[in-house]
Amino acid sequence: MTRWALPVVLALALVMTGIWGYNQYTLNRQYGIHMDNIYQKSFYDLVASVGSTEIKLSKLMVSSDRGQHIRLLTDISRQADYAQTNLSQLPISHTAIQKAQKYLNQLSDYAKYLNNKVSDGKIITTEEMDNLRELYRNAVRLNADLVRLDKEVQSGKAGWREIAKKGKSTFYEASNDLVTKQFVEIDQRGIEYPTLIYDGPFSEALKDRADIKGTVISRKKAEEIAREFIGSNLVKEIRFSSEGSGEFSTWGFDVTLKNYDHPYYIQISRKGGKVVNLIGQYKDGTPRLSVEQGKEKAAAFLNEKGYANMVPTYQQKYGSVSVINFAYSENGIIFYPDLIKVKVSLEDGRILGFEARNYLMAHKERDLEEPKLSLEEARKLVSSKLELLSARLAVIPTDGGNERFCYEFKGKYMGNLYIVYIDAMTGQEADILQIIDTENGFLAM
Amino acid sequence: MSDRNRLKIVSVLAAFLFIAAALNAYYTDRSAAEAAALGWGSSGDKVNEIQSKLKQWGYYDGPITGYYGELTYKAVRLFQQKNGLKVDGIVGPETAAALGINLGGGAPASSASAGGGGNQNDIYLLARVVHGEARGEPYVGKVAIAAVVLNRVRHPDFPNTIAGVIYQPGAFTAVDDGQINLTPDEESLKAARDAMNGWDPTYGAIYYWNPATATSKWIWSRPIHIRIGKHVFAK
Repeated sequence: MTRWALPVVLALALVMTGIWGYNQYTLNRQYGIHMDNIYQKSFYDLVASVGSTEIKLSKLMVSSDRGQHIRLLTDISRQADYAQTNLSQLPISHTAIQKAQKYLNQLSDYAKYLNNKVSDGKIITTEEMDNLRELYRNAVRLNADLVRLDKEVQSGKAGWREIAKKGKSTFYEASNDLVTKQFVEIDQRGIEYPTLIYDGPFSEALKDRADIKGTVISRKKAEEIAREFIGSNLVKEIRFSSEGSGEFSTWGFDVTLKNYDHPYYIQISRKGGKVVNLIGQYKDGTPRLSVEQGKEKAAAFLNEKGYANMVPTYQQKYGSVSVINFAYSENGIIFYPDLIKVKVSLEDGRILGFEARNYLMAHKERDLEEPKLSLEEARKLVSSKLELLSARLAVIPTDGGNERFCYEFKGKYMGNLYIVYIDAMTGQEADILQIIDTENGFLAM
Repeated sequence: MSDRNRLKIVSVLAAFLFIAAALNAYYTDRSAAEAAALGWGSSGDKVNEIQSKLKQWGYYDGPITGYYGELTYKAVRLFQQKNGLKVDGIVGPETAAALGINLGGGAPASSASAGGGGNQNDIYLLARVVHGEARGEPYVGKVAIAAVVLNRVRHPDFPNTIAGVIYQPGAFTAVDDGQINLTPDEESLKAARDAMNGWDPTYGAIYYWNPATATSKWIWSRPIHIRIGKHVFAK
């Protein structure tokens, strides 16, 4: 009995391990094939949509019909968007597809911009046509390269699974498999296109936004400003953290407070010595102040810090804190680009956050022309379905970093709150916002 | 070998297989049960419901935030203790039944949209990346990581949605090693929300790395904006 017990147990263990191993193997294989299929699909969709944008671009250049322009531009932006989405799902390092990604994003964005223009009754200028021709040439090249790559993948010379394995840790460094090599080549030689300056979120014009103006201040001076801003009587210790560059050059400080357990972090601009942002840590507690009281605290704080004429526009509440948006206002006109956000604790009214980047970049003396439309004329352009609650003049930011002078109408339709902007010069409907009033967020009327 | 012995082997083998199958089934079941339970870090309408129920019955005196944090956890434990349930601070099927709440099979994250501050789902997803990538970093460092994700969404070289940026293959180690699936803590949620509300201590950075461990040559060619905690941020 005992003589064969051990061998049997060992044999069984071996069999079990074998079964387990085989299961793991099949499972692994299934997952591998599944991943392969997903990548394959993304790649085929990419090839198809790049091919489609190429054709649509070529048709656009010979078409002179407005309706056709609109249809083609809509298609181009949609297909380019889809191509971009699929490209970003391939397991290829970021550096190898960066340019192709940018090309597709800008193509989609530029087509949207032109579409808006044509829809508004304007025509595509010769300069814009030149840009389109250049974009088309790139689409042709990209398409040809992708088709060639497709053949190699089809013939089994290159596979996705191998790349996925290697690509894992090489997001920033192109690996040396065939597919990635091809993409690197496409990126380096295939894509050259005009610098596109237009009114859209990916416009090159947005790249060089101006730094804050003013004289450069020392670290010591910045520390004083930080201490003053938080309140000299509240600060326990203030320590230099790091310098920042980028859109702004800043001095950053870590701050500890008296009778408060959580640290603050504050950044002061080197030029002009303005507080760019303040980030305070906190622990959720029981709110004792109403949202209205929180708003008053925030408004008083801004006033005390020398930001005059700031009016609250939107307020959110999370647990025991509230974030209030303020915009600059002058002569009854509200300037949304000049935005400051203040975060206040509803537990004790403490200021927990301040963010003035937008304000610092946008705020300036503006020379506004008189509106061409009267309030009455603009009101007639708003859909009669909307039950109007209020109206005023407003300057709103556009996607491309410009500004638009509008009439702002707030109104209700079917229980929902909407804001409609009518261009004060042209009477065009510049934008419609739907306000989703939740427990957490509400509009300041 | 006699017939009896052969029978023995077969039955032992059958027993092993049965155990293996049972284990397999157990693990599958367990993950399904986990999906339908709410615990620390969960958020959404269901959490709202739990908090209001507990408040009504006097177990909870915190605010109704829709977020399952320390206060809710303590209140749930108290409720379980008083009602003879297993005291684990998790609202599973039994606790939910005792509370009179239907958990359903849905994910714990809510789909309610919150206007201005962004979609709750987006905030939760962002918080998960922050939790996976920046645990142990100062709070500002967490806000910075969330800001980088959002800066990528706005940058032409990257995908245009939060999910697209986060799940771009290889982009975040926390996504590759599955740490993104951990439940984010309260601080990560706060950091995600701050970034969504426009706080960006990195001024438009789209890359970050840990100088102690980064090996890529390319990444060091990027102009560095700022250093926060262990990470440097660059464009």
